[in-house]
Amino acid sequence: MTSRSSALESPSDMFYQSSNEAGLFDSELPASSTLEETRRPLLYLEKLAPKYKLPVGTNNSPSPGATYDNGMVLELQDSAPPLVFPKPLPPQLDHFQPLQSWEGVVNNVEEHAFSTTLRDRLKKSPDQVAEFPLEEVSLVDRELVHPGAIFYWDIGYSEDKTGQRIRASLIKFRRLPAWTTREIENAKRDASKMRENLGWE
Amino acid sequence: MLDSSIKVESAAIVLLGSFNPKIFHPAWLASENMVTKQESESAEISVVHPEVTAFTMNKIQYEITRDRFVIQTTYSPSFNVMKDLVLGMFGLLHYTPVHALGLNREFHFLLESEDAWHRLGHKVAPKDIWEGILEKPGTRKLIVEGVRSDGREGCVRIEFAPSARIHPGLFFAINDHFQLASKNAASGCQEMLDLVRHEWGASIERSKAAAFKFLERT
Repeated sequence: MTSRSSALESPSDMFYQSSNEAGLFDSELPASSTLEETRRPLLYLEKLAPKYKLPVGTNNSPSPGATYDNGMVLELQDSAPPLVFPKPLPPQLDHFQPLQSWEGVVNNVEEHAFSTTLRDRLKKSPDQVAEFPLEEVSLVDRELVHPGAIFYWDIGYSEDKTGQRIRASLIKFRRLPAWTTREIENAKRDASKMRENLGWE
Repeated sequence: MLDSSIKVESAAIVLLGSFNPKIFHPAWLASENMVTKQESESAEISVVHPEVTAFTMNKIQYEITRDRFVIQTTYSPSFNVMKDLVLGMFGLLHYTPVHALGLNREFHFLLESEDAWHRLGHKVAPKDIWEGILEKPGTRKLIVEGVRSDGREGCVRIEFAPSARIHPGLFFAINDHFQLASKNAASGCQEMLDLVRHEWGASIERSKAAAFKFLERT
């Protein structure tokens, strides 16, 4: 129990929503419920979805999956049926167990290969220089292979929703929108300030 | 505890503020070169509406309502891609007022046995106090909140529960919450962008280290 006031003041500020669903430690009940069986609705269209009526209470912090929350019975209030009730997003079941993970910067590009400096994101090894054949890069990302471009390289086991495991090496180039005028102006201002500080003309 | 005991993990960036859900469309992301045309065309759209937008694209889920933006993935190679998407989207929409940021992580650990699973529940939430009140009391969920150690405004909240996805499994979720300085609309989201740019990598590593430390102690 804590009396410290939370930064999350109202239910609308409860911006952390757990994807985990009901289970039970220390009981003999099997934790066999699946996400499909117990998942909460992800989306409500305000004014269109049925409203929950909360009886007067002093501690309104409903917990997912429970039928009885801190002494408050949740009841469906009479309201118009929803005109639109979007299908919930499917649960994400992709999993990747990383063995090595690097962030790389392209140093030089040649006809069939590019050289890079790699930083180990798992901090297991020092920076390294490596050369990759261009064919390692997805066709859609090849236009991004320029000196200075940043990419992520992950090696590990990729598992799909059926549990099928594949050893994978993934190279993904960073995509950011083009520089805005404001960002260019800010960069020029920073450069000019730095020049002044260094005493350069 | 080995990485292999993690059976499912996810990372999410959650923003609270004032958003225009309809603008967040796969085609918009492709037109701004943040995703490829092929990725955009393969998106599974649940809804695009002035009140709410939800879709999945390239293993990343997007859910945007008028007051909340959530981007989430369970695929670890996409963690940094997700960060870049947030920097890209809100770099373009930098006048969007954002007053809170959550860098969230979730883990489902497979435990060695059901006995270990019970022991963990008893250790974290001792049951003596429930004797004579409940029959076979079990831990459903425990949420513990701490202050931030970096001096920023916000909190770190950890949720502990049995996993509903794997058995015997532990669900461990960390909400690394940043309360941003100003709530006024004029300030836009520059503070949030700076935090995401500089804190994302450290936050996801810190959360993972916290989960492993917790398991080692229990």
